[in-house]
Amino acid sequence: MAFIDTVAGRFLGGRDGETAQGVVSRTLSRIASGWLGLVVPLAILVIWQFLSVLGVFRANLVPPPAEVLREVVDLARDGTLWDHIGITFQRVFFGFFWGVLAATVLGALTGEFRLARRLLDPTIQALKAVPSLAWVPLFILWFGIFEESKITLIAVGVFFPIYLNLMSAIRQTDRRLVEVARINGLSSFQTIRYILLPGTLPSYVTGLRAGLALGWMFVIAAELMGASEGLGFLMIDGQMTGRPALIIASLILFALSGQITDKALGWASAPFLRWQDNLETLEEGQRDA
Amino acid sequence: MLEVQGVERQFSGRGGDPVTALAGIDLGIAEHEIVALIGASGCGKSTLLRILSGLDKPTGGAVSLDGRSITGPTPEIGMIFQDPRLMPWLSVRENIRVAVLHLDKPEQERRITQALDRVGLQHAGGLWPRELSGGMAQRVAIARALVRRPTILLMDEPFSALDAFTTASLQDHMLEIWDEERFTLVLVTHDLEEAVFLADRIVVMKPGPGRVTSEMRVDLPRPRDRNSETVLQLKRRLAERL
Repeated sequence: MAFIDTVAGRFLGGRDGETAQGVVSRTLSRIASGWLGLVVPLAILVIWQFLSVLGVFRANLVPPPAEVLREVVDLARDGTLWDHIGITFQRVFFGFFWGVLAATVLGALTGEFRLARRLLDPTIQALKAVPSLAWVPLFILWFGIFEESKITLIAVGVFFPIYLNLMSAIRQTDRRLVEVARINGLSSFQTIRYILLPGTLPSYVTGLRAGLALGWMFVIAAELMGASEGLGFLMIDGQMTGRPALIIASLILFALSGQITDKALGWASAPFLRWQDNLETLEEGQRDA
Repeated sequence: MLEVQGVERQFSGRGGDPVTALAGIDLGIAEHEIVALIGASGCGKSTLLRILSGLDKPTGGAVSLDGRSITGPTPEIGMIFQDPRLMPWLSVRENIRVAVLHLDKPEQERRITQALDRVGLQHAGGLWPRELSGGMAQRVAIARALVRRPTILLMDEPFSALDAFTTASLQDHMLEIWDEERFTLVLVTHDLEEAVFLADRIVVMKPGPGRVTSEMRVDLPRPRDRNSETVLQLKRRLAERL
């Protein structure tokens, strides 16, 4: 019986020798601990709805949650919601793409080569000092009011954390491991493949996640300043037409979008970072054990 | 035969004055010999070892192996550092593979298995470095050096970070491997007992500038007893020379 249980455990994706019961209880406790984070938002929703019904809030300023939900459902039903979300995601995607590309190339250059660092880094650091939103007038003048200026603005926001993280991670590469590579006759390509890339990856991923968060921040800024579509436009629309439910709905959609893309990035990078000896892996290990 | 002829190493010090770490070192090391370099810190013993490994270059003089001069790392000379220096992102097996990337896959697998076997870690291949004890990690580092089948193995205070018990068992194990694989062993140490227990010849160095001040032969049969009267006596004589 124990054997069958173990086989069933295997089938359910458990590890060696784990019983089906073990897998199920582990999965359940994992779900339970994930749900703990929902307690506070749900409590806020309940209190908010309760106070709205009691008339503590003025309905034309703070609509009840039910009305916010209705707003989302209405938008979803006539299909415009998906267009707005789609265009916002598209902007973040392209801005992120170009920002990552530029930051990776420049960060790798300045991290690895002293000449490139001396030549380029002071300029990049100086540009970092310009508050990113201050670029807006110039970008609009250069690229017009359509997609190009928005994507450029997002790319600028995405660029800096990734650039800085990558450069410093490359500079902090363990010299002792590079000696191991030299002793073992590794080529430059092999040294990059076996030491530089995996060693810089944790910082790089941190940079990517910070960059993505800034990408979401800047897409709002770009859309608030002039757009006919997108989640940011919905907010402005809600402000102009006096529909607070629409504003709050867009706000929540923004939060969800940011969360989902961040989680996706973390999930995609997790297999490459499993070797790390830090609190996060320790927590994973304990939860799994 | 590993030959060191008039090796000198200067570093550019603070304020531009060169600091001489090694001055005129002459040393010949025979095949299958175990030589211990011993001396106070700053005597240049580690610098000398790095020059032998090809990681560092002398500013004067030359090192040659069987008549060919050593100007950089070569597969015939292996090096084990004071710390294991494993890549934390690679499993034990993959860490060892880094040393045999030039071979084809089946040969890599064969050699890795053999090397793990050699150091008694045949079941640890799948572990992450963070899961290893200090002694196990250093064994992996030894396996990584052995997997290249060097004719000369250099060790820079390889057991100094380990506890006494682990050190003793690794020293015994190292002698066994040395006996079977027939390589030449040059180790840097500051531990008198380690030098007397392992070496055929002990080279005593002194700082300011780093130079060889004396040599001592240890003509005791192996296995040696760490607590025998002769070993203790040799330790005392060695201490007087330091």
